Order: sequence, then C-alpha cells, then structure tokens
Amino acid sequence: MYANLPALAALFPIAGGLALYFITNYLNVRIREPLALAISGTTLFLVALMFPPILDGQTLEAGYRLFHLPLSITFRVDGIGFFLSLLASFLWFLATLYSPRYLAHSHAHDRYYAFLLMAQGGCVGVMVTGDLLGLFLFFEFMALTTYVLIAHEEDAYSLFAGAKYLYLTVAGGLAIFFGLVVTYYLAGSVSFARPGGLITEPSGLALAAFIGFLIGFGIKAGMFPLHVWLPDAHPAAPAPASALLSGIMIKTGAYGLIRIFHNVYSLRFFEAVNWEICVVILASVTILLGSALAILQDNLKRRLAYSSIAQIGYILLGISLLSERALVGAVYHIFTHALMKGCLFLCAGAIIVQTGKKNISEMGGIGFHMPLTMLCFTLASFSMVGIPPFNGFISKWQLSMAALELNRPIFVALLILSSLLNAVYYFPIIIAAFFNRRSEAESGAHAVHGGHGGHTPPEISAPGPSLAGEAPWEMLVPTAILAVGCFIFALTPVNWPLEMIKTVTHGLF
Amino acid sequence: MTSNAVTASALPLVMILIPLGCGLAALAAGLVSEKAARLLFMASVLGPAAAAPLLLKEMAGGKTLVLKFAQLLPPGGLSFRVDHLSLFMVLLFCLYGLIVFVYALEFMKDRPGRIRFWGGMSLTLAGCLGVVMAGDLFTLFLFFEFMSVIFFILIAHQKTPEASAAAMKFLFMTIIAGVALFLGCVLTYLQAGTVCFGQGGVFPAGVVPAFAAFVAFMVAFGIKSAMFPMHLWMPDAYTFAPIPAAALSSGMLLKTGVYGFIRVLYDLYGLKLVSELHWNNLLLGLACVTILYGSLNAVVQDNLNRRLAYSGIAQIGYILLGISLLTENGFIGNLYHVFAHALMKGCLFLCAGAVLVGTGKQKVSELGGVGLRMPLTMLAFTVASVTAVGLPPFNVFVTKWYLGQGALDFGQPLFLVLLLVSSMLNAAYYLPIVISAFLGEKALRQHTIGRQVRIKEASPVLLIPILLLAFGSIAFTVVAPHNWPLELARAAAQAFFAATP
Amino acid sequence: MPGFLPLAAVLFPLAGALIIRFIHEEKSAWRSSIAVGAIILTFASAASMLPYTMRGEIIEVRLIPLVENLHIYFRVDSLGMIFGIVSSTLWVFAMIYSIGYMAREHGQRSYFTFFVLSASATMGVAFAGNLFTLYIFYEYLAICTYPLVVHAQTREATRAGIKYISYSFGGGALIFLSLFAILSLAGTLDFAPGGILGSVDPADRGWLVVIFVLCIAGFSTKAAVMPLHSWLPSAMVAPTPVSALLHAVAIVKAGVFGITRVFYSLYGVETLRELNLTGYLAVVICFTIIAGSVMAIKQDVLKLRLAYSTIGQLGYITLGTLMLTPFGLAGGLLHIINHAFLKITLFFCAGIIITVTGKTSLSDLAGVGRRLPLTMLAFSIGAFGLMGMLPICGYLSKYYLLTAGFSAGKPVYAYVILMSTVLNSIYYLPIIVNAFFKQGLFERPRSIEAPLTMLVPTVILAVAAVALGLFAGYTTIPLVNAVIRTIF
Repeated sequence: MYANLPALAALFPIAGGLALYFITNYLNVRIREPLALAISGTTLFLVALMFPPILDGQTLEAGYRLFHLPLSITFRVDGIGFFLSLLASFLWFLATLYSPRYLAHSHAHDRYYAFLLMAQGGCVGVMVTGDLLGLFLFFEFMALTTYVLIAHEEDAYSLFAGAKYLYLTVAGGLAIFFGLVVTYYLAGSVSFARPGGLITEPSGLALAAFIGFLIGFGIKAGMFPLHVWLPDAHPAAPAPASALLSGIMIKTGAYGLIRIFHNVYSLRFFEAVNWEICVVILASVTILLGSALAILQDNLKRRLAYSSIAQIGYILLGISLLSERALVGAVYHIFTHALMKGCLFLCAGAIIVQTGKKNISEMGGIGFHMPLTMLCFTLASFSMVGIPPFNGFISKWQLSMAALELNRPIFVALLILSSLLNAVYYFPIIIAAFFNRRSEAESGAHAVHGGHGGHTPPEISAPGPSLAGEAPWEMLVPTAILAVGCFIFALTPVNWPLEMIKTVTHGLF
Repeated sequence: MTSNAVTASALPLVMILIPLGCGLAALAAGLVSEKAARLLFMASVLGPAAAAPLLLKEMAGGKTLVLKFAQLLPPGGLSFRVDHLSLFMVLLFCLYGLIVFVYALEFMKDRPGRIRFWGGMSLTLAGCLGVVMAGDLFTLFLFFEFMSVIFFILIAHQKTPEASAAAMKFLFMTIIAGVALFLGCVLTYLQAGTVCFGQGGVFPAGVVPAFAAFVAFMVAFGIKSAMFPMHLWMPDAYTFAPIPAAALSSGMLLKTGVYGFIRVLYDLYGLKLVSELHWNNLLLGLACVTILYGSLNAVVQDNLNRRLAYSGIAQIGYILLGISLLTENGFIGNLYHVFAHALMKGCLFLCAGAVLVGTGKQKVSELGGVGLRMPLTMLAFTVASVTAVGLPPFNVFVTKWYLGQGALDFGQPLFLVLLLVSSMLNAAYYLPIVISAFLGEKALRQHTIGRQVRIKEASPVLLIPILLLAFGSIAFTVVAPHNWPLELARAAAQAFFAATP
Repeated sequence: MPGFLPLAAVLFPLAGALIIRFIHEEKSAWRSSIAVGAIILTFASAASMLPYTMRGEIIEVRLIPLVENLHIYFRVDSLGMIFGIVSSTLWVFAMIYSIGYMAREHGQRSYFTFFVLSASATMGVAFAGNLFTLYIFYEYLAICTYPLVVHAQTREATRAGIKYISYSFGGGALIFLSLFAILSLAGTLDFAPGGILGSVDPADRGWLVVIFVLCIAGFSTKAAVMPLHSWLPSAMVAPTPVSALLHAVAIVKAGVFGITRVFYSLYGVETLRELNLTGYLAVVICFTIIAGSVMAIKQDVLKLRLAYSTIGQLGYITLGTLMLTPFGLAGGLLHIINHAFLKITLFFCAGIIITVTGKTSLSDLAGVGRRLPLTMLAFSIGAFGLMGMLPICGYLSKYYLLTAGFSAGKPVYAYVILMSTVLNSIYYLPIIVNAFFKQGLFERPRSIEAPLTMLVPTVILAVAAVALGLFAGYTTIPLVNAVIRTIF
C-alpha cells in the first residue's frame, strides 16, 4: 500500500498545480488560495503518511517505465529522502499560507500558485526518486518551474535575474545529464539501490562524470564559483518563493551531492581517489566568500542570499568530509537552515509588504512598528550565528566535532570565523531595528531614492511606505512557526530531528 | 545483412504514385475548380497515410518488400525496397505530412498561387517517399532530383526577388548535389557492379572503393541535409519560403539527405568496410562543426525563421554525428532524432507561421507578449523549445541519451560534451523567445488593456496541427504504452549491426 | 526489295522538294501537305529498315560506278541507322512545326523546298556506304542548307551564310583530299566494321596520321569543335526550325557522325589505339566542352545561348567516340539521340517564344512562364535533361560517358563532363527561374498559348524525352547495342 505513495506525493502537487490554473482561470477565482493551501497540505499529508514504514526501517520502492530507455524510473524513499521531503513539504505549506497576503497587490496569481505547487512536486520528486534519471527529471522540472516564480514580477530586474538563473540551471542540468550518461555507460544502471555504489573503478570517465555532477549540483546549491545566480534571484523573487528557494531548493543540490558521494560512487571509492578534496576546498571558499560579501549588502534580501551561500558552504563541507558525524551535521544544517532562513525571508517579505522598505539602512526602528516580526527575525538570526541553544549551534557543534575527529581543526576555526561574520551582518540589523528610532525617521524620507547599484529591485505593487503596523496573521503565523522551530527542538527532552538524522545517516555508512 | 524473407509487393509503388497522381491532378483541377484541387491535395497525403498500415501488415514478421522493374530506367533499373529503416521514414513522412498538409491547406487558403503550392507539396511528398523506398541508388537518385526540383517551386513561391534568389541558390546547390550523386552512382556501379541496397556492402572483397565517390556522396547528401559547409541554401530558403514549405523541408527533405547518408554508409559500403577505411571520421568532423556552427549562428539571428533554420543545421549535426559514430546506440539516437527533430522543428515552424498570420511579425525582437495573445500557440512553442534543449521527458532527451551512449561506446566523451554545449546554445536561442512571449512589462503594455489580455488565437485548423506536433514531443515517451519510433529505430539498427559483430 | 529502301529515303524528299518548287507561292496548304507527306514517307522508309538492322542484316545498294572503285554506295548498318532514324523522326516534327512558324514569313516556297531537300542529303549521309558517298552528300547538305541559313536575306544573314559556306567547303576540301590518300593506301573507300586502314603497310603509317588530321579537321568544322566553331553561332540568324533541326540535329550531327565513321569504319579500334592520336584530340574536345559552356553563360540571346550549349554537348559525343571503348561509344551514340531530342525541344521552345512574344533576349523574358506555361515546361524538361536529371533521357548518355571515363582510367574526361554539367545548370537554370518566378510584363494566355502546329510537336518531343529516359531499355539501348556488337 505504501509503495506508490512516493510517486503520488511527487505527482499530486504537479497535477494539482495544473488543475488549479485551469480551475481558477475558468471556474472560480475565490477558491484559489484555499485550494492551493489544500493541495500543498495534502502533499504534506501524503509525505507524512510514509512515516510509519520508514520508522520501521523500510525502504519504499516502486518502478515505473517512463522513457522506454533501457532503464525505468523508480521511486524509492529511504530515511534521508523521507526526512528532507517532509521538511520540504512542511516549508512549502507554510509558504503557501504566507503567500496570499504578500501577493495581495501583485498580478498573475493563478500562474504563481500553479508554479509554486508544481515546483513543490518537483522538489518532493527529487527526494523520493530512487535513481539518477528520476532525480534528474524532477530536478530539471523543479528548476524550470522555479524560473517562473523568480521572474514573477516581470520587471527588468526580475527578468534579468530569472534569465541568469535559467541559463545557469539549464547548464547545470546538462552537466548532470553528462554524468548520468557516463554513469550508465560505466555501470549499466543508474539506481541508487545498488550496494557498493555504481561506479567502482577510478578512470578518466569517472572523474569527468564526477565533475559533471559537481557542476550540476553545485550550480543549484550556489557553491562558489557557480553561485552567481543566487544573489540576484533571491531579491527578485517574491518573499515566499525566496524563502523556499533558499530554504529548500538550493538544498536539493546538496542532497544530490549526498547521493553522488554515497550511492553513485562510494566511500571506499573516495578513499582511493580523494576527489572530495576539491569539494572541501570549494565549500571553505564558499563559506568565507558568502559571509564576507553578505556584510557589504544593503538590500536585506540580497544580504540574506549571500548568507545562504555561506550556509550552504557548511552543508557542503559536512557532506564532503565524508564522516558520519559530519554528515549528521550537514543534514541537520539543511534542516536548521531551512527553518531559519525561511523565517528570515518571510520576515523580509513582511517588512516589504508593510513598509515597502528593502534596504537595511532604512530599517532603523522598525522593531517598534513590527515587534513580532522582528522578534522572529532576531530568533532566526541568533540561530544563524550559532548561539546555543538554537539549532544553528547544534549543527555547528556536530560539524566541529566531526572536524576534530578527522583531525582537521582548521575547519573549526573556519566555522568560528564564519559565525563571527554572521554576527557582523545580522546583529546590526537587529540593533538598528530595536534601538535606533532616529535613523528610522531619517530613512523614511530617503526611502524613495534608496538603492543599491543598478540591481536593486524597483518598487513592487505593495502599499506605499506606512508606519503602521504588524504583519497580518497569515504572514505572521508561518514566520512564527519557523522561528519557534529554530530553538524548540533543542529544548525538548529528545531532539527528535537530530535522532532521526542520526538514524538515517547511519544507513548510508 | 542477414536477408529476411523477401516479399514482392506493389504497395511502395502505389504509395508513391498516389501523391504523384493526386499532385498532378490537383494542378490540373485547379484550373477548373479550387475545391477539387483541395480535395486532391488532401487525398495525396491521406492515400499514403492510409496505405501505411497495410505496409506494416505486409512487413509483419520482419519481411522486406521489394519491387523491381529491371528494364526501366537503365542501367540500374527501377526498383523499390522497404526494410525497417525505410518503414521508419515512411511512417514518419506520412504522419508528419498529414499534419503539415492540413496546416498548409489552411495557411495558404487566401494566398496567390496556392494551387501550385499545394500541387508542389504533393509532388514533393511523392519524391520524399520515393527516396526512402528506393531499392537502389539510381532509383534514389531519380526521386532525389525530382523532389529537389519540385521543392524549388515551393521556395520560389512568393516570387519576391529575395525568394527567387534563395530558390536559385537552392537550385544550384541541388544541381551540384545531383552531379555529385551521379558521380558517386557511376563510380560505385563501376566498381561494384551493382548499386542495389540490402546487401550489407556491395563491394566485393579486396576492392577499395574510390574515395572520390565517397566525397561525392558527402557533397550530395551533405547539401540536401544542410551539413556545413554545404548548408548555404538553407537559411535563405527557410526565410523566404512560405512556412509550410519550410516545415516540409525540415521534417522531410533534410531527412532524405540523412537517409542517403545512412544508406550509403551502412548499406552500400557496409559497416565493416567503412570502419576499416575510417572514412566516417571525415563525416564526424563535419558533423561537429555543423553542430557548433548552426547553434552559434542561431543565437544571433533576429528573424525567427532564420533562427529556426540555423537551429535546424545544428540539429542535423546531431543526426550526422549519430550516423558517423558507427555504434549501435549512436545509430538509434540518430534515427530517433530524425523523428524527434521533425516533430519538434515542425511544431516551431508551424508556430512561427501561426504567429505570422496572427500578428504579422517575424522578428524575434518584436514577439514580446505574443504568448498573451496566442497562449496555446506559444505554449506549443514552449514545449517544442524545451524539447529542443533536451530536457526530460521530451523526445530529444531520448535522442541525447542514445547519442551520449554512442559517443561513449565510440570512446570519445567530448562528443557528448559537444552535444551538451549545443543544448545550452539551444536554450540560449529558444528560451528568450518564450520568455519575452509570456513575461515582461513591455509585453503587457502591448497586448493588454489594463490587465485584461486580448486573446486572439490562430484558427483551429492551424492550431490543431501545432498542438498535435507539440503533443508528439511527449506522446511516445510518456503517454503511449510503447515508444514505437524507438522500437522501430532499434529494429532498423539491429538489421545493420547484427550482421557485423 | 530492301535495297530500294535507302534509295527511297533519299529520293522521297528529293521528289517532294521538286514538287514544292513548282507549287504556286500562294497555295500554302498544298505545299505543307506535300512537305509533310514527303517527310513522313522518308521516315517510313527509314523506319522500315529498322527491323533488318535490328536482326543484324545489312541492306546494301551499289549504284553507278563513277570510276573503277568509286561508287555511289548505300549501306545501311546499325551506326548509320541511328543517325538516319533519329534525323527522320525529328524531321517530321520539325516539318509540322515549320508550318506554324513560317505561317507569316516570306519566301515560304524556297524555304520548304530546301528544308525538304536537306532531308534527302541527311539521309544520304546516314546511309552512305563509303567515304565518297558520304562526302558527296555532306557537300550536298551544305549546299541545300545554305539558302535556309540566309533565308532572312538581311545583311547579317548574308554574312552568316558566307561564313557558313566557307567553313563547310573548307572542311569538305580537307575530306576530299583525304579521299585520294585513303583510296591509294587501302584500295577502297567502303566502310567496314573493323576498319579498312588496319591492313596498311607499316611503312605508310605516317600517311595514316595525315589522313587522320585531314578527316578530323574536315568533319570537325561541321561538328563545331573549337576553334572551328564560329560559323555555328552566326548561323543562328536562320529561322528557328532550321536552327533546331540543322544545328541541333542534322548538320552538326553529320559532322559528329562523320568523325564516328572515320574512327570505327575507316580506321578501326585497333589501328587507332596503335596510332595513339585520340589523346590530342581529347584535349581539344575537353577545351571545347568547357569553353563552349562558359561562353554560353555570357550570351543574352536565347538562341545563341543554345548554340554555344550545342558546341559543348557535341564535345560529349566526340569525347565518347574517341575513347574507343564500348562504354564510350555507347555514351556518344546515346548522346547523339538524346541531345537531338532535348536540343530540338529547346529550340522549338525558343521558336515559340519568338513567334508569340517577339522577344529574343533572355533579359526580356522575365515572367514568360505566365504567358507560355506549357512551352516553358517543355523547355524545363529539355534543360533539365541536358543537365542529366533522371528520368529525362540525357542522364543515360552521361552515365555511359562517365563510366567510360573511369573505366578507361581517364577520370579527367568524367570530371570535364561533370564540370560542364554544372556549367549547364548555370546557364539554363536562370532562364527557367526567371520565366516562372520573376514578375514580368506577360499575361496569362486567353486561349491556347501558341499555334497548335508548333505547340504539339514541342510537347510531344518533351514527353518523348522523358519516355526515352524511362524506357531506354526498350528503345535506344538496343539500337546502340547493335552498333557496339558489330564494332567490339
């Protein structure tokens, strides 16, 4: 009974999104938002239904012939896939809840919701497929549907950002395709289920395939030097989409790399060739560069975007250290980062909707107008910096322990340095928000011609700058849930996400 | 090649004669009644399409159909032969022809000279069917020339100076192709004593075929299939010919050139001989250049038809690459791409035509917001574009899969990288069209009053062929229970590769 | 009885011409019917000999011995039959066509007289059994076509006539000289399949070279081998049916036919191979082919372009025959037939264009396809046929010529022909394209586009050209094979 559940979970929101487009376009506009929420919620429910068998340690598998290639597409959910798809569905549900108010004055709602749901299908699909072909299929599908979300505003800036995203994504997809073809050629299969990995013999082709995968997933994950799309795409997209983009979608790149390291190649293989070194180095550079560049940004969403680059560096570092503990840290950071960065973007969206302000320099004193929003922002920032007992601390702890176990203390130093930088770019926002009434008054006057270079998103059709008020509850609730998520698990007796992650990563080693 | 059971059948001849007769009759009937001409025009494609299932039935069990008239058309004799490869092409031509003909019927409805155009299309179809069902090189040559000369009429249709110049260019290159093919025929016949297909290599052991003949074949089929540097006729022809003619050419005429390459390399020379001589490397090199040249040029074209034409050149490069790799996977890939490209590029051309009819615009830079006005047309365009880039689950993905495996079997992953670079360029020249069609403030301003979009689709008779072709890009990979084109391509590949271990 | 037939072929037109001469200028219907009747009888005589030839029988008739071994001697072998049957067939069409073409011209009586008379001379050339007879009829042909060339009676025509007759007689004189040499060396002038000069005393081999040069130069004037070609373009001032028949079929082919006779009936393959002279001729011929084609490109007057094209095409025939291989000879002979059918079609079309529109220059003919659709369709068939497109008959001769070139180890011959094919397309295609796809001053025809007497022969010939390609296995190839069998 469970076997078809993964396929259903992936395809339901896709079909639902398409149906929604036609229903709202031709039948009834008013049910649009509830319908979208229902579809997203159902997907979450479908994913959650997989919990009992996964808890039993089962793997859900079902194969479908799709392309009439010599291989079929299979859906296969193991622990890590389940955990991440649950996380993704949950975040998507919150974002869908958040969207109506954010988009109240925007256009093309039908398109937005349709593509939002289809992207959800793609994202869940990535995590529930059991072979590279399926992963590639959903990966590309998610990437293309996301394009429409990024370019949603249809102004020059978002079209530019969207185009940059689109071409890099297509290039990444082709790189993955290269790896896919080579893998099939070398191994005769692209299934993740083969014990001992698919590619076992080091060769020039195997290296080429690895580079292909690295480029493909690296682009999606925003790894240096392939991150160039990310700082533009995040500010361009509507805030809920940015939250999803940063919270979940870039993690599919990391997820892909986990599969590459553990299921396509194998740990034994990397022991022999040590190719993971290049990922380690790139991840380190990504961490430092992302953090350093984040400091320079004045546009809030842009700063958050660079911060995401730095955070994805942690995850890639954890993955590429190839120890069990490091992977626990990495996966936990995927979870952590999804919650906190989702929260931060939703806060940024709330600020834009309520005040129309996008630049940090204009946000002085905003905490007095939107105390709850800025409280959430503060909580998420603490987690970001890694202050105990927030989630961010736990993942950094795991990563540091892993580095020490591997006898590489340099990475501990790197993590600490990066945390310091995090503090440097998050705390001033909080301080200004709550303690700087005067600058708020000043910046209100300058808000019209504030901007950052030529790439600053122009005004969207939100209500003009208003000094009044907290965000409406539809926006506040998802934000608050995420903010609470940033620390609640560290306070409960059993940190069950951590326990779960430990179980599922153990399966890979 | 292991010759399977051979059956004599007049069906191939009938399938050629129907469009030939109907085409001529349509031209004659056009003087009296346009309605009769329209009926005959449709009959010319419905006839072969209806006969195609019979062909399948007769060939059941792997039979090969042959028909010989040894005394006609000396010295080679007129002969027809339908094996799996021919069947693949015939089915494609019938299917594709049917769609394009319906479109052409509507597209040319009120244009001057339509009777001549329709008649020309029917005759071209007859020629194309003749080429792929020819049983020897001379018969192939006969239909090849016939088809080209008739197609010239279609290119020149609009009678503008540009169209005439484009047609002249095409005609000269066709004549050169004809001369080259003639040379190849003569030399081969001289050395081998026969130019009949289906023997898995006509050259007796020990005879080294003349290199001049090989070069002649390359020139002949290279011109027809628009291989670099013999592609010169194509961009002009596609730009100035009426859209249905361009669609017909891209789906069928180009493919006859490809078919010629396959027949010569795999059948006339034989796989074994070619791989010993390594002459395929010449084709391989040119195929790579063709891919890059076509793709790069397509990026900078502003005229939509021209962009599609250059893209077609690049796509032909894929097919030639598949042919010249001499691996089974590569061969399947090439044949599947013949099918995939016909549907995909046909769809793009028909969309371009619908847009031209609907808005009068042909420049990419002027197409902003056209998707808001003609959503279904541009949706089809989007599907075809995404197909061209090679994303799953569309047809071209399957092509690339097989071509990639073929390249690796050949031992050269760089070809795979080349394919991917070209895919990237595909994205670079198709996606901006799609994006500007649907998104962008300028688009909104042009086509909306306030926020209300004025939808004005093309007429259903134009739209249905477009949607069918777009659907075709996914129909066989996902929807249908079997990927028939792929099965057929496999069968055709098996026929050539089974004999040569 | 059969011996009467070659005589009949020569005498019917002679008689017809005499009758026409005495019919009053006004009675054009009478004149036309007698002309056509005479030609049809000629054709019938020639055709009735065909079964004999195909059975391998040779019809001989020996007349008046002028001196001891100098006879008027007719000998219908397969080689002569090809020339005879093709000429007489096409003469029928040309005759019918002339009726329409000449309808409003002056001097119809003299025109028809000499037109019919030329047929007699051509039959004589075709069926001549020895070089002496051939020479007599060859000169006879030149004389009776002279009035046709100068028919227009303009200054230009007179000048062209003088040029024509000087070239003809000059060539004839060379042949006349060679008569004595051959007679003294071989003791006979009678044609024989293996040649008559093979048994010559080795000491006299030098003379063979001299004779070769004399004969070839003599016949080359008629065959328009460069640099002896310049009369041909000038002679285009003649009325178009004359140009068509005489310059595409009878006169120039008589020259080519003469060369073939010299090669295969006087020298024989063996002797020529030993002499090794054909290589030099081949150089000249290859030059002629290419240069003729190139010069055709430059011409703006349609008939001139066709004339230069003829020069190139005649080169094919000569090239084929001088290769001295079965394939080469087959190619050459087939091209005699194919080129005759195709070129006469083209000239007929040119004639229709001149009659209907009055235009002679190509630059004035944009859009003429609208006015003359069937004519231009026939023109296209002719042009594509000469370019070698299947299934129009021209491809077949090209096929044999190419095969001959390659199998004789002289691929350069093949490449010259291919090169020339490309050049052909360069000068023919623009005509077709401009006719159909350029806007011009021409309007759609209100009724039938051209007089039926002109249109019907043109269309029939165009159809015949296709049929001859498609059904060559039943028509031309057996005919040519009969020749090949006797010679090789």
